[in-house]
Amino acid sequence: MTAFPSPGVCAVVPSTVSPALDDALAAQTTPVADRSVAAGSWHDAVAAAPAAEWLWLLDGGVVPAHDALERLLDSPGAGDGSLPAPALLASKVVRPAGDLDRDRAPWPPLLDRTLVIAAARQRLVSLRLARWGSLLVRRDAAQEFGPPRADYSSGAADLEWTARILRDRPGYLVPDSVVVRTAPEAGLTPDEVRDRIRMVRGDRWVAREPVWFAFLLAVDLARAGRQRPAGLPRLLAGVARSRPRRVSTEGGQGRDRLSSMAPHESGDSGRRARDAPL
Amino acid sequence: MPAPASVIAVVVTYNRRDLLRECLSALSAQTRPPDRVFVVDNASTDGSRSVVAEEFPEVSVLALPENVGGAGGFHEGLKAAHAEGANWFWLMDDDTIPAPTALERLLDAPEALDGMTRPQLLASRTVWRDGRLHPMNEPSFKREPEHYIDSCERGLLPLRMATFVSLLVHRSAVDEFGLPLKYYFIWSDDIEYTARILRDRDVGFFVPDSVVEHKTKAAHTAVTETGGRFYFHVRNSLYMMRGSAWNMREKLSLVWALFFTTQIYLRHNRFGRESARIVVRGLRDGVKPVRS
Repeated sequence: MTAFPSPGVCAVVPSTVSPALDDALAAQTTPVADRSVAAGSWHDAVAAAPAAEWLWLLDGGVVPAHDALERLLDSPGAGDGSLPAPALLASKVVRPAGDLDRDRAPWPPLLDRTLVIAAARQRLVSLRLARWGSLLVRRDAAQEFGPPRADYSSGAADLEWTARILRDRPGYLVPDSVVVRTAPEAGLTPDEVRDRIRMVRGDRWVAREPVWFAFLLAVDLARAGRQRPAGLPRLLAGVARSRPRRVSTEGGQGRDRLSSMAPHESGDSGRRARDAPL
Repeated sequence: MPAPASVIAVVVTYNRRDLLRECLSALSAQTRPPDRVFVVDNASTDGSRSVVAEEFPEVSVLALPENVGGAGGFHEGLKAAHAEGANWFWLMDDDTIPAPTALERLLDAPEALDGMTRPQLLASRTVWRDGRLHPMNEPSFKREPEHYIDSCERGLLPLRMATFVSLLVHRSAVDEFGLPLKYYFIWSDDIEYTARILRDRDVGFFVPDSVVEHKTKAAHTAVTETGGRFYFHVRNSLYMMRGSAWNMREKLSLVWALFFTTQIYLRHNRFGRESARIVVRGLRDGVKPVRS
């Protein structure tokens, strides 16, 4: 990990930084003050992040446009008072051809139309769940909710983490902020299926959202089954493995500045880190 | 530069003279007024027609011989306006009070879309007296991610359905999809019509900057307060399930909504004979062949 003194934005990458990402970070029109790199785990990378007002979580497989960070920070959602201050801002993730990366597409809220409309008036997309790619997270939110859970697969840890953060706090996608994802599409994995079923439980939801979330999993499974019928039994095995388990998220670089500010969580309830049983 | 759009406002009224007066005044105060205004009078008996004749002589009245409900009123009004040859039809009830820039903002939307698509339906943001989004007119949005983001980027939202409380309908939609179904009489006629147009095409947008006030007495009509009119809810829900406006997945939601509202209605009425009769009649008529 390389440390810089500035308190502004810290880039958080859960893998080795590719030369393309390194170049893109260096070329940002708004300088990135610091980096936290922890190979293999979002949990460790976020937990190890040094003090900064914003954490910029970048998937190792993305390359941000030179103004991606500037657009996020300059967006009306970033705190100019025109909208409720966000806990999280996301970039639009596109494939190299310029089309939207559907694996990283945002999930707008099901229920809160008032915020959806207010965000659209500012040319933003209100978020209920966000995917890895380019997420700018306020440090206070990361402190309040803790780092992403280590016992979730990478394909579901983003949904789980953002479901907790965005339950009561707003988040917006900023369409003008673009990152290109060059990594091949992973598709739905058995571990993601398992973890998304686990997510249906717990208090990270409001009202009918668990039904909605489960329904969308069923839709994704049906789509995956249509695309690759032979792979469906493997995915359905994830359903069988979806019993709750308790895994400590401590360890590795987890003992650090950020995680020391918020108790670790485990189990499947626990919207905020402080609510979770140890 | 394209020729300015011609707009005919269609206002359906029934025995709400004072609200109609307020609605027509708001129309004449628009920063971009409609080129013509049609009032469809559903055989009002409170002097609404004379109010229009005396105070708004420029407004055309389509006097219907009997009350054919909101559905019949919009059907007849849209048919008459379409025959006049305008590009856009601005539909609303008599208790809709548009803000001065409501129409101007709606007409700005095609430019904001900048060639992304040619819109056929544009809906205003409908608020209640206190400024909250009106629960009766909450739009439903399409959720296909690419289209959703593209719309938000332009300050709009992609519609899946909307209500006839400040809805701008393009002439081409009427050419292609016809008129609202008058046999719905009241309730869900607007939902069916807009859902039918938008089912397979991304041509409807919600315009947050266009604001109208829907001056209902209460912000929300509870199922428990609908009385005998609950019949139309049951019957028209079944009509929609039989129709082509919704896909199979959406129809499952309609089934759930009908089940949910019916049990509230019956429980509120203590499963009384009259309420049961209304539900049964709605179910029975909903599966019968339609009398169009």
